Amino acid sequence: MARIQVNPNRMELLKLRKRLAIAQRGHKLLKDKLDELMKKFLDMVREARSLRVEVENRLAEAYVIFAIARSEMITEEMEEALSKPLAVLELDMEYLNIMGVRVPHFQVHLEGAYHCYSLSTTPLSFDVALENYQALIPMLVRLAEVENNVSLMAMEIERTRRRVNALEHILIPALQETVVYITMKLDEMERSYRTQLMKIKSMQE
Amino acid sequence: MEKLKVAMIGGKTSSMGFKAVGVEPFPASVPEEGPEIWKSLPLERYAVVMITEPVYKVLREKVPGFPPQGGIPIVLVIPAVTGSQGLGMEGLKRRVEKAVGADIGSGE
Repeated sequence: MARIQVNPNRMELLKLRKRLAIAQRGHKLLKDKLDELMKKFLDMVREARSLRVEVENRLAEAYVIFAIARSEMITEEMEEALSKPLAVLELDMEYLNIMGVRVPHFQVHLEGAYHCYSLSTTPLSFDVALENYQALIPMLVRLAEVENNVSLMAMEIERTRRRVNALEHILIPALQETVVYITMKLDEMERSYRTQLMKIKSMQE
Repeated sequence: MEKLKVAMIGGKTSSMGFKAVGVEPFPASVPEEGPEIWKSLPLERYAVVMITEPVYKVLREKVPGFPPQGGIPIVLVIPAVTGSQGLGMEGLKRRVEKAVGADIGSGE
């Protein structure tokens, strides 16, 4: 392990010991953060997974009903019916803080109904299909949000893990080794000083 | 707070119905039109852009830096009328693998 290039004196030793203590404390904190992030992340993945399964199933259903409605109408009729939608879909966005990760959160505002067409020219299944779509909107937005959270958390976990590893495998061993090196050097200097003294004393006698 | 919209890029049949509930549809008659539509989209207006699987596939191959990571708008893959190809689940799985180093929990 590479040790840090410093002058082996008492001042540096004290400084390094302090740095080592801080590094170890930071390492412990980051490790705790990583554990908690992982816990939250796995919860979120579980939610995203079940939500996606549900959304995909319901979307498939909605498509089927819509296809039935389409088969009962001619294309022009359908286009006309959908040409002036009244419903206004807007999302309010705010940021939430999950374990120091800023994640967007949406509030769905769906104003106006989907009834923007003549009831006499459209079949019943058309209403049902659109009702299904309307019910799906909040779920789709929620799914987008959760999946986005998952990817943001994944990035944060990766970053935190790199920091933990850098501390654990590079900085802390280097500091420890340097502390040992300086201690040994200082001891050596003291021994040589003592032998010098002894030698001088024996020469005086 | 900002007011944002939801857009959708997909086949005509897939995106038509969503128009009635306030989603702004950008129909692509073939998936290969996807990149053009994506580039012309005023992205800052949207919170979520829903993209059907066939179009998503083309975009992933043709557009560098797609899908955008970690910002607004969020790209949401949804199955097209023709049925799910499992792209959404695959994306989720990849993110788990990236963070954890292994795919766990997908067997649930």
